Amino acid sequence: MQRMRSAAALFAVFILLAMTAACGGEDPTATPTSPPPEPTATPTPAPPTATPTPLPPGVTPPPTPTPAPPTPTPTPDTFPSEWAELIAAAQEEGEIVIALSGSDSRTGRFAFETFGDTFGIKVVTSSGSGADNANRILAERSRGAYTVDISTVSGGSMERLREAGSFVPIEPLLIHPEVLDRSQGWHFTDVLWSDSENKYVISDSLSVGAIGSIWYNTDNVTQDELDLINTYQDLLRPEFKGRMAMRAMNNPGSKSVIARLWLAPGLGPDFLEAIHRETDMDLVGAEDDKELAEGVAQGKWDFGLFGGGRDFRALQNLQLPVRELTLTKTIGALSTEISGGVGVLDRAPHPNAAKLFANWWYSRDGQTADVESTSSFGPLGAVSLRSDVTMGTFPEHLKQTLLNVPQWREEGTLEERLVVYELNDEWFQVRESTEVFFNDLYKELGYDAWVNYNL
Amino acid sequence: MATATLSPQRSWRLLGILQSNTGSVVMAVTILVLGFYLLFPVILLLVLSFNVADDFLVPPIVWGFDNWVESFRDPRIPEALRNTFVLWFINFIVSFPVAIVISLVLARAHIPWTHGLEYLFWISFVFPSLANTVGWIMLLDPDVGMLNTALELLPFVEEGPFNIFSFWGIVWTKLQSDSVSYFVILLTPAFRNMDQALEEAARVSGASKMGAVFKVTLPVMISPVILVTALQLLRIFSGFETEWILGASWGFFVYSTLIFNQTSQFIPQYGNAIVLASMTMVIIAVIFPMQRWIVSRRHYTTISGAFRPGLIDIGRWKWVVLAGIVLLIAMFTALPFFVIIVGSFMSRVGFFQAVPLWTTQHWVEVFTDPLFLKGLRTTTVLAFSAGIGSPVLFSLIAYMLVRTRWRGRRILDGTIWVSAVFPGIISSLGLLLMFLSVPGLQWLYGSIWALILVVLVAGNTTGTNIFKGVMVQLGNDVEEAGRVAGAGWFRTYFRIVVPLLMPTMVLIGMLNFISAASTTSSIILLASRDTLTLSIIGLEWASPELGRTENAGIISLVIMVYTLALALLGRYFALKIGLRQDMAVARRFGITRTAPAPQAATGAGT
Repeated sequence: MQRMRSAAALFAVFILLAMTAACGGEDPTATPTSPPPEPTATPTPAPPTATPTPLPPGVTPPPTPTPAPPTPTPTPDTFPSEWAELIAAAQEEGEIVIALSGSDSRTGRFAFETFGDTFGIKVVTSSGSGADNANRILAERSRGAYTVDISTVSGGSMERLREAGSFVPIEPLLIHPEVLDRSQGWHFTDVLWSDSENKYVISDSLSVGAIGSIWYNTDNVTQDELDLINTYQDLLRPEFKGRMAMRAMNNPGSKSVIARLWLAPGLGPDFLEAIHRETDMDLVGAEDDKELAEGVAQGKWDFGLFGGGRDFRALQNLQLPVRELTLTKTIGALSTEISGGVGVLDRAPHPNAAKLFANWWYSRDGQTADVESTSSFGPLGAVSLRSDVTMGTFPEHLKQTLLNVPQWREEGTLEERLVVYELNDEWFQVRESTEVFFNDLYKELGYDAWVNYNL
Repeated sequence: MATATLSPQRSWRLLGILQSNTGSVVMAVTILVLGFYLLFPVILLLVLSFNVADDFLVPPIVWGFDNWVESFRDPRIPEALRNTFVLWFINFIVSFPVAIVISLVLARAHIPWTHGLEYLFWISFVFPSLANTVGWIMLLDPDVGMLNTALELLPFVEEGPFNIFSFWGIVWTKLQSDSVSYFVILLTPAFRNMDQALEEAARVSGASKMGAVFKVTLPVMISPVILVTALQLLRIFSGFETEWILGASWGFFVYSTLIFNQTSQFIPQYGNAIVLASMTMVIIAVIFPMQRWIVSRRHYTTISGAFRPGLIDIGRWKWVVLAGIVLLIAMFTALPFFVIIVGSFMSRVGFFQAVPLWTTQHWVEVFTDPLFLKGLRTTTVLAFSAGIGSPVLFSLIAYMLVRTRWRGRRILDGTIWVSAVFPGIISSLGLLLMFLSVPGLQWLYGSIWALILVVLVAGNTTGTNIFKGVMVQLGNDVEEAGRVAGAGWFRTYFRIVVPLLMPTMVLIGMLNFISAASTTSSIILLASRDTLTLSIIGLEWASPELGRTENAGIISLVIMVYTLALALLGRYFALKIGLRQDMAVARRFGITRTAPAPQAATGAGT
């Protein structure tokens, strides 16, 4: 009995401590007692000089561009001294901590090292996926720990950080003329955003390609059959029934392509529902396209729809029988998608280093380092929004698409050929709401393996 | 002014009380320190399971019962639990008899290359489940599996008959490391500790050889057998990679993959995941009293001062048995291992029409990666800390539980079991919250020390219980002899008990070495952000964005080879330490070749 009492007492103490610890979180929505740390060495930036400038020839603006707000900009005379002061202050801090998205932890690592080498600052970069890093940042902040300066976490995880109030507005931190003056060295004169509030993460890259790619097995699909496909609706033809596969659309990895298809004129939910209902579609569940690509190369399916191109291209490079129909033929319109960028964390432990990094990242040097680092791992999926840096190993056919834009514009066919997607509220809402839509559809159609019961 | 200092007289009295109650003090400190470290995160997470805020990690906390209500309404939970039990049961009924026979043969029968065969089972066991699964996918993928592709070349086979992405594919893959090998490496030492005198007594009383095995050997071995079975059940419950890779794509969920599924949502459903994971407590609530009852209801001492091991001669059958064991190991381990090696040199596994078919590119990429050496260094620090520190720690805890009569043993034992409730992905979050919430622990967070602490204590349930299983077989007289000869407790423990336990120490060391070398979730959540290990590098190669799974496979191979090479070295030295004891025992009892001393008197065998 005595032992039971001792054990119970011990557990009671632990439970009490645990409850105290559990309640020890901070409310991020509460007004901070002190303002976010601002670099003390940096003087208040001067009023803006940049005014909206015309788009470069041949480039169409996104549907709802957000003009750059009146950001105070240092005059050319004051910038060098301000920049030097910022560098000195950052060097005094000595370190910068960057939380990365899954791919950046490897592909962008050398770019971050370049920053460290250039400014003599130790760069600490994270590993793990973007979701892991978002979880860690949020868990830390819930306990009052602020250990991260910069986040490159993107997509849904970035939105999660934004909703939790983890970012500070980025524009007040930007002082570099190359970043502020978008009339030179940028594809777009207007600031394009990756966060739905248009406030925290400025986009740095642009992808171009089919709204949804169509790959096929060259041994099993005839030219006559390929000639039948001129729009996405042609995929609903009875000739193709039972011969196609795609990733399950309530899979987190599919969200971008779903949003593109959902928002594209003439497609949308009706088409997406029909392609499931009418074609006897096979679904694959992996978060990458390896299964889909290998299945098409092996002849398990004749068509692989709406996947990313990397896995297919890798098989094509090994002379396996896969080709992209949407490369040789424009099916519907092409699309551009804006993404990427860095966010500065609220209460960053190294605010000057964070400010320096944000300015460097969007400058010519930063974007060049990013492109070179990422290119060393294979073809890029997107080009930098800066026009004064190399396109790196951006696939040739996509470069060609960008180069075709002026001609399409001249022909007056640009709008029907190119759908520009911006990461705005609508985009993120589509990404979330479609999950439920497809979940219900999969329940109804008996795709039990793909039903997500957490929704 | 009142003074807080004790007078010399009081100090001496307090010291006297402490000395006379050394056991209670040591036990109390152990329970407090270990209990806090192991139980606090568990309790913290259980408390937070009532947090029903939209985002579990974003304050303010909203208290409610929704997570519990929703979780029990989720139709997948009973299905996942049923799947888990069915998976365990089928694995158990197939592997247990096979493993018992193999363990008996390896430990008690005259067959050639016993030690080599046992070491092969070690290899089989430490063969990473991820690499093993990938190996079987390369062989039995319905579309690109090498075996299926080869069979399709036959004129009468239209389609390869095997599908690894199926329930039976999962059963098959798990039979290797989680079942047969697991039982063999843990039971063989126990069987080896059998005193021949017990079986001889049975034979003298008229029992046949097999009768002696069933009426004497197995009943005496019931304690380690039950313990190992319970640990295997927990292992199947926490097993994750194989079930996820082979099952999730066609909607087959077991308990652990369902937990992973909850935590990998767009906004991780940690509340539901904790509720689901806490069901393990029901299993522990059954296992814990049962194993305590079995251990306490009778004596299982098989190693005493008069210990006399012996081997059974099975005549010509030894060649048949040897062939069977070799075939089993070849099929379960050598085949997937060989396939992974071959696959790592293929441009694309399973595509024999690829041009070029063979390449060294994956190996070049892995070994010329400038981060590889950094990862190797950190992995070495972590793995060695765990490989050396964990066996010492667990053996001391087991000693306190089995060989002392100190009060509080049940609490300590219970703490060890309860700490196995949550899988790594959730317990890492619990540790993160603990390090950040408890004053005085913040300095640990983000340091290599936090990580070393985590890998050191990881696997404590398995490690401590395996040591317990061996210690119940040690007779008191072995230790008492040392004490009578004038040795203190430390000297007795390190000169007598540790050498007897040395093979088990190598085994536990190896298990924790590979566990530390393969850990990822605790590194991502707890270590300094730039901590890079080989397992993290492997994870990066395999990320959907890079998709270099071949490179990730090579990293797994590197970890495995590294582990096994060091385990072989550790085993060699461990046997040398044990050998001196064996020789002494052998000389003392005049043990002949029929009772080979080296493996027999090392306590846990080898």
